[in-house]
Amino acid sequence: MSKKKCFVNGASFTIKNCGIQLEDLITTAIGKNKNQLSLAVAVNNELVQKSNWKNMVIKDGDVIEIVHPFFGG
Amino acid sequence: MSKKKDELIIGGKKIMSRLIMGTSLYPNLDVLNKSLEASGTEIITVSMRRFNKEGEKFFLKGIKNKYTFLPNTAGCFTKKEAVLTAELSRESLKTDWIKLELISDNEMLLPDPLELFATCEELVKRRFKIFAYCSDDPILCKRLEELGCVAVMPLISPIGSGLGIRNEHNLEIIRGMCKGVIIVDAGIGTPSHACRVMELGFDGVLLNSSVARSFDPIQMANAMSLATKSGRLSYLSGPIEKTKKAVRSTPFRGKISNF
Repeated sequence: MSKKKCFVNGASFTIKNCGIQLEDLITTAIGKNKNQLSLAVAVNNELVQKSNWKNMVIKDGDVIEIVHPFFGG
Repeated sequence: MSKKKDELIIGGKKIMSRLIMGTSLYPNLDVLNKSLEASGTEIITVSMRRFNKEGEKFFLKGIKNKYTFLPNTAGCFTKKEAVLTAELSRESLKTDWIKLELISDNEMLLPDPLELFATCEELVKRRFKIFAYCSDDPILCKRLEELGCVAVMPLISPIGSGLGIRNEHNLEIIRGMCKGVIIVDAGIGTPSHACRVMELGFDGVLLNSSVARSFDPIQMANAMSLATKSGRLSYLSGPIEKTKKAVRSTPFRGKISNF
């Protein structure tokens, strides 16, 4: 059976069959200081507000974008 | 004589500096911070990008948080991309301000007027305060203003080109037609460009490359600040009318007789 995976900022990320909570995925990908970084997250091209990170389960094939402020003109 | 206060209010916020600064392309964070300081700016533009360590350094430890952040949608080609980027920036920075950029091509980075207008319609519904980066088309500027953009921001030449004003007549028409906040964005190369734009009565200037890519960004930031203020003062002071012939300044009367 093939491994389940999602995509975080373009990179493949293996997950368990039952999925992974978005909050845990962000901690794994970014680190524990995630709350200091003014992050914003989209799943499958839809914004997921921070208050919902704990309620969302990421499943096979989901596409996650984790962004933050950067240099810009 | 009472002196009227020269206030600039954008999206309900009173702004003292009419110079908005970009934060990209600086040699390092120290020069960036010193340049922002020298410019006297209050509003700085930022992008939203995928998390990386460089970005973490920029936002968490690098940039001083005394500025008002104006997130942009740089690099977006479609309404869908721009709307999501705007939503992400609102979540990240807790601001409903958005500098809306929708480009049409990778070579000239010119704004796509149709996609821009459609996206503005959507973002107005979502209660964003839009700073719309657009082409220097007077009718488009007017339509964006009527739609409810808090600032309309025509280019004067392509982004990062430094070419300065390419169509001054269009700028005059835009200023005449639009009664709201009009800020020139993109194309400034030298302080004289910024000054001229302000002399035409524009409300402000947004620039990045002309400072960041100059030999001495800190000094250039100061020069841009002085130029913006100078142009504004000139506009408010009411310059003299141009004439085809000379108009004597020293009185002729009382001069010794001709011989």
